[in-house]
Amino acid sequence: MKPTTFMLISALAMLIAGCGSTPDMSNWATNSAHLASAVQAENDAILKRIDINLAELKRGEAEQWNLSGFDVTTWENNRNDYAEGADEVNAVMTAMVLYADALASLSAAGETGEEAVDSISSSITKATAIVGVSFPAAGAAIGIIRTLGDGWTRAQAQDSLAETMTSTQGAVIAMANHIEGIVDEQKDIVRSLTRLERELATQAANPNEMSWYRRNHQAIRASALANGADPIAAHAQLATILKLEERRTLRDRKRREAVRWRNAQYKALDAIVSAANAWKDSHIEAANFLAECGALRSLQPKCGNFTAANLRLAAGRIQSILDSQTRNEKE
Amino acid sequence: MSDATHQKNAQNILRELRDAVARDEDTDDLEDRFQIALEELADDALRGQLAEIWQATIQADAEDAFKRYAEAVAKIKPLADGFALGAQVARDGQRGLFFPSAAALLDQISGILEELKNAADDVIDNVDEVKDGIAVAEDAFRKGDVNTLIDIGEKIAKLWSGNQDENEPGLKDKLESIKGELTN
Repeated sequence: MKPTTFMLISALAMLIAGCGSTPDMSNWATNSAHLASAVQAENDAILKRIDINLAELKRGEAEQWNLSGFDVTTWENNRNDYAEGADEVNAVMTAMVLYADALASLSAAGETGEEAVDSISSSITKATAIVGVSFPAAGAAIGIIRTLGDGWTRAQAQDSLAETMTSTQGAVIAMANHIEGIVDEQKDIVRSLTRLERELATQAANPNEMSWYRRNHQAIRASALANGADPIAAHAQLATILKLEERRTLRDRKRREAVRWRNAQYKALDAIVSAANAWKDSHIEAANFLAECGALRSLQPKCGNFTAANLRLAAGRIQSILDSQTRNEKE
Repeated sequence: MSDATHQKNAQNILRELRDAVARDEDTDDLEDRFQIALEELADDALRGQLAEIWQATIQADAEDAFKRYAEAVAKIKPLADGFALGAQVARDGQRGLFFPSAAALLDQISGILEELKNAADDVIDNVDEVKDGIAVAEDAFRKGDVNTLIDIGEKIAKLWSGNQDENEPGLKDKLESIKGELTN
């Protein structure tokens, strides 16, 4: 081996020895998929609730409740606009997940250097055996490949990851910010839907009869239960009161349930914002690390890889190159 | 309390409700108070009118929220292209990894070499048969024995393509055409 070649390979071995581990992007890809699922699930939940309320609004219109302040067409348009927007958001989420998967795949491929070196070594051995010629340089090449292949592949993958992640950083930050903006509007929609749902429950119970109940039920109850009251009339009056009470209970339960649903959505939407920010921060952290300390930049003092252990590792690799060179010269 | 007092109370709560809606606040308690205030009113028509105002407030606020949602979605939409490009750069980077790519390529090369070697071994194994075939063919040609020539042609084609001759549509047609020319 020429001295210059040896120096070059030694320098590479030293740099590669310092190449730190690649951030595990598979977890980030999993988190990306979870974030996308959460956003899609929330879109589905809101859309489903709009449909339920729209159906109730139509029922109310058919049964002639007092709904003169509402317009079914307006709510249908709202529903269709929301469905269209949700589809667009879901499409962006899908693109984001594909990006995350591609990063994870690249990151994992960076760890396949050893496997690739084994395969190369076996292919060369097989090919030389098939051709039936002695090829001493192949042995030397395999020795160098064995020493450098693993670290070199990792370094190359880290460089590609750094390039990819730096160029996509703006989209990731914008995504987290826009998700927060969308969630704010979704909360307002959820709040409006809850008001609609509560008002529909009120109108379904017939407010005029509820008003009559509020103003008269105590007096009627007292009169029905008074000594000397006509038992047949008292029974009929109490039955009416009980029927209205039952309807009132159902109405109040529906109104409380609407608030519970709204609060559950608030929680889910807040969780999406937190997850999106954590997702963005992880990307920034990994991208910055790779840009500063990835691949052959790892021996910069701030990266902390210029250590005695790494120097020993580099020396071991250089020695193994020398050993394989000596073996081949003997052969 | 008189109905006028109840009316005033309901109107005040409705005003508070509309202010709270404008501030994007939850209005559960105010809504409950408003419902009670309306129930305390004896005037059904007035109750209906006040409910209508509240309903119109809900609907206007909802329309505004849906509109703002659409605007927020419009901002996120272009990011799909950014992510698609990022995914492409990552895939290109993966394809460009030297050792894994070299391993795949060398694996193909050694595979091809092995196939070539096997093919060469086959030819060497069958060289006598081919020689015999050529001798028979020369004899058949001299005698004008077309059927024997075709038969030999098919055998050679089968040997050459590793028993795949029936999957090569051009070869059969070509043999049939030769047969036609020779018999005419």
